[in-house]
Amino acid sequence: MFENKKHVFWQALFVTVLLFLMGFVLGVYVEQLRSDTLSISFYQSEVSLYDSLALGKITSDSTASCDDLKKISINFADKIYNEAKELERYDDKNKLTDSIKTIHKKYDLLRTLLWMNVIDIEKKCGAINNVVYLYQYNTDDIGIKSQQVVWGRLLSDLKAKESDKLILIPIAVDQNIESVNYLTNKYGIKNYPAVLINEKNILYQPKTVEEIENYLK
Amino acid sequence: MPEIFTIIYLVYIFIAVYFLSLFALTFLQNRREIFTNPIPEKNYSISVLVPAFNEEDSIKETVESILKTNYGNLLEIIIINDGSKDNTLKIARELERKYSIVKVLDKKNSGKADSLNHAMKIAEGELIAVVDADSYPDEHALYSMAGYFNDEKTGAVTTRILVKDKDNFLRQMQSVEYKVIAFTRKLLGFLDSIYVTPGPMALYRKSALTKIGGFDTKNMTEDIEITWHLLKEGYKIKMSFTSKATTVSPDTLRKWFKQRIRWNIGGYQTILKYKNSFFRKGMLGMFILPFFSISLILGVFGLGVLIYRTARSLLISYLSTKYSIAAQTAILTLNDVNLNPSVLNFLGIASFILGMAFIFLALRTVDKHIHERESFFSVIFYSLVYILLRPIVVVVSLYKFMAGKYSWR
Repeated sequence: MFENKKHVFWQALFVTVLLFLMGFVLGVYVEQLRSDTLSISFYQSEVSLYDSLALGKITSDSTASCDDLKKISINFADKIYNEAKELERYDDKNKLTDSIKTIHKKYDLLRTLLWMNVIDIEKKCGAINNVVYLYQYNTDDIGIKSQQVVWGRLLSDLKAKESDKLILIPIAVDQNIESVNYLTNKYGIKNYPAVLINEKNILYQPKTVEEIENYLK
Repeated sequence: MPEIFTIIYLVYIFIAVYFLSLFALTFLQNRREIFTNPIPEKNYSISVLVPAFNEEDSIKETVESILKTNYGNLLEIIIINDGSKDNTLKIARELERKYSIVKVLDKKNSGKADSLNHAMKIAEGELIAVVDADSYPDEHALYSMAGYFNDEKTGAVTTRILVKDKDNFLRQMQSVEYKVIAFTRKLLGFLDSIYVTPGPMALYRKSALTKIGGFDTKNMTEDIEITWHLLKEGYKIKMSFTSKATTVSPDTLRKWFKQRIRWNIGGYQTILKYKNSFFRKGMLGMFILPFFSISLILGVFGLGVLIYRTARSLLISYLSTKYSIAAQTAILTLNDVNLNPSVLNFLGIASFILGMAFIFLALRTVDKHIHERESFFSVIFYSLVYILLRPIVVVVSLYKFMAGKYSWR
């Protein structure tokens, strides 16, 4: 009995696999398109960072002004902060490929380089108001996730208020980036999310924007 | 590597697309035969059994609708009064006096299956029709079903069961559902995989019923059990799509829920009873049992995943709102509204559209024949909301089944 009918079961399996494969290939292609768009932004940012680093080297010859350096750093920080927000919009939307995760990691590295550059510039040109937001990218912990949601909103408000007087650098700490691990150890940061203000004050619990402003110069 | 919920989602979509493809291919390969029935090669004698428990409102109309059928060798109509507490017996006696072929069997309440087994002993027809006392076969029903018994392997034949009165929204939903089920059942018939001969109306070969010892009195859904039993014994189950029987469907959500719980518990009982037939030769073991069991597992597991994901999102929203209030920042910002669809959203929408296309095809096929039409809103509501009640029924009935909290009435 079954033998007479089983051809349609196999035909249905064939059709399903075919449709599924087509959907899968199309899905991977769409996700790749998104990643490509973000990659282009990343490469542009990468060039901007190298420019900033190069300018830092030139500063040692005192031919470039500190004001220019600070301005370039803030502009660059703003650029990659906005790109971070754009990246965040696609973060959990790529389901089939890990390409966005790889770009995210590269951005984290780029932002770490920016942070290091800011520290260097501060040594030469004096303090720049900076806030480094250290968060967990891969956490499933509900408490941490909800705190990070609030920190994201708070820092966005802070940045909108302070505008070009503040460098805001969000960095994911669980991406296995050695330089990030080194810096977080150096500043004694144990728990995440954490907000490091001007390399001095560490905040673990969300506070009001006004309270955070009190830590800035 | 995609995360676990992505894999679960993809598995669900794969299974949904598989069954849609199976039904679509079966329809395409057999569409010319849907509205054809074999002509009876023999004038089979038929006994109609009408089990009744508190059916004073409908039994007269049921018996009269059976009497109006155009079948030439209707031997007898046996009303089995199953200890009714209303006027069912009185009405049955009046019908007995009025029509010579009507007989009444009065007994203490013991459930539908036991009532049918009692009546089977006195029924003299070669074929036994079972008609619920609140169901109404159309005039062609018996004739269009009888021809399938030309094949000696046919043990039972069912027909389209449709909702009688669509006088409230719940019944309109059930009307859509019954039509989709009828269409699907006909397609399953082409695969020798009809898994139930519904209670409102079915026709059985008496010798087959006798051979398997009649209906299982311990099962909550004797109609599912008898079908599986016949399949196990090597009989075929067929369906006539040209005739119909209408039935009174639940008019309140409470009654509906109670009915569905009973159906599901009966299903679980039957799965357990026939568990040894899994993957054995024949459609019962190779398709019906796995199909039933997978539906059950997917329903329970899917509801579990949905509850987990929803509870988690709600908890994150609650905590972030709490922290936001403490930090005096916005509870919701424009950035939180992320309208970027993922590939899974597209796959879900594509599967939903395919599912809707199947529902419309089913309704078009059924409605064209009976000159009826369901409203577009009913179909959409059925597809988006009504269908989602099923996993809840599955979980509740599973709990009741495992806790032993069930009885026939």
